[in-house]
Amino acid sequence: MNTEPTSIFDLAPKRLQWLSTRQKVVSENIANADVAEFRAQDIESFASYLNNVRASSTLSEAEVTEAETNWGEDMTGNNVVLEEQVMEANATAGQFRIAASLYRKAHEMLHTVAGRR
Amino acid sequence: MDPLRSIGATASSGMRAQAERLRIVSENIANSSSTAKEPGGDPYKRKTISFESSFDDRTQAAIVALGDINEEQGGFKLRYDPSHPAADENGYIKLPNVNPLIEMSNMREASRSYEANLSMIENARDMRRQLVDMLR
Repeated sequence: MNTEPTSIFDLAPKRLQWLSTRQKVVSENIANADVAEFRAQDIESFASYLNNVRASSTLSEAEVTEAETNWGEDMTGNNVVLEEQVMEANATAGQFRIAASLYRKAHEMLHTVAGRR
Repeated sequence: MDPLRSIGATASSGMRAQAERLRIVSENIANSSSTAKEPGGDPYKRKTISFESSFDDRTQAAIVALGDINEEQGGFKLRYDPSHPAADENGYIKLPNVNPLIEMSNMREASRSYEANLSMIENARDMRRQLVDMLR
């Protein structure tokens, strides 16, 4: 268990790393959308990634798993649906924007306290 | 490996694959009435392309590789035209097994997938820009 107070400077890089891995997996899904028998992939949840990273103390990549999706599949068993993946990609991009801005804001707070700017 | 960098490799391999598919479609459409040169011979055969998953060691990214290009056998349409140079002894010529409707829907799907890959590149570029903005 983590007992130290949650630091935004500790959490933000992990969140950004997790989101970029997620985006990578979505882009692999889109590229493979027309490959026979390809199954859509997803990554572990952020909570489980946080636990693993705390244990290993390095910023490793999140684990890739098979996606749970019920948008349907084509005749070869490929269950990538472009619309769904593009929606996921946009959601991830939005979350990335939030995390990046939060990190910036925290930095600006430090600057204010330090008396610069 | 930087995930944002792998996105570029993955998405561009997808775009390349879809562009190749589009090329095959245009070959089929262009040859949709190419008959044989000699009497009774087979006309142009519709080409199909397959994709397969692959792994790029350099960028550590899952990419799409092009599979074999196959020719679809049989299914030719016959037309009675005895004066045609490719007509057989009964006066019939074989026309290619290209169905314009299938080719058109194939084309639409290829360009739609191409756009999805392109938007992934834009997404990744936007994410990287936000990281760089932190340095300012």
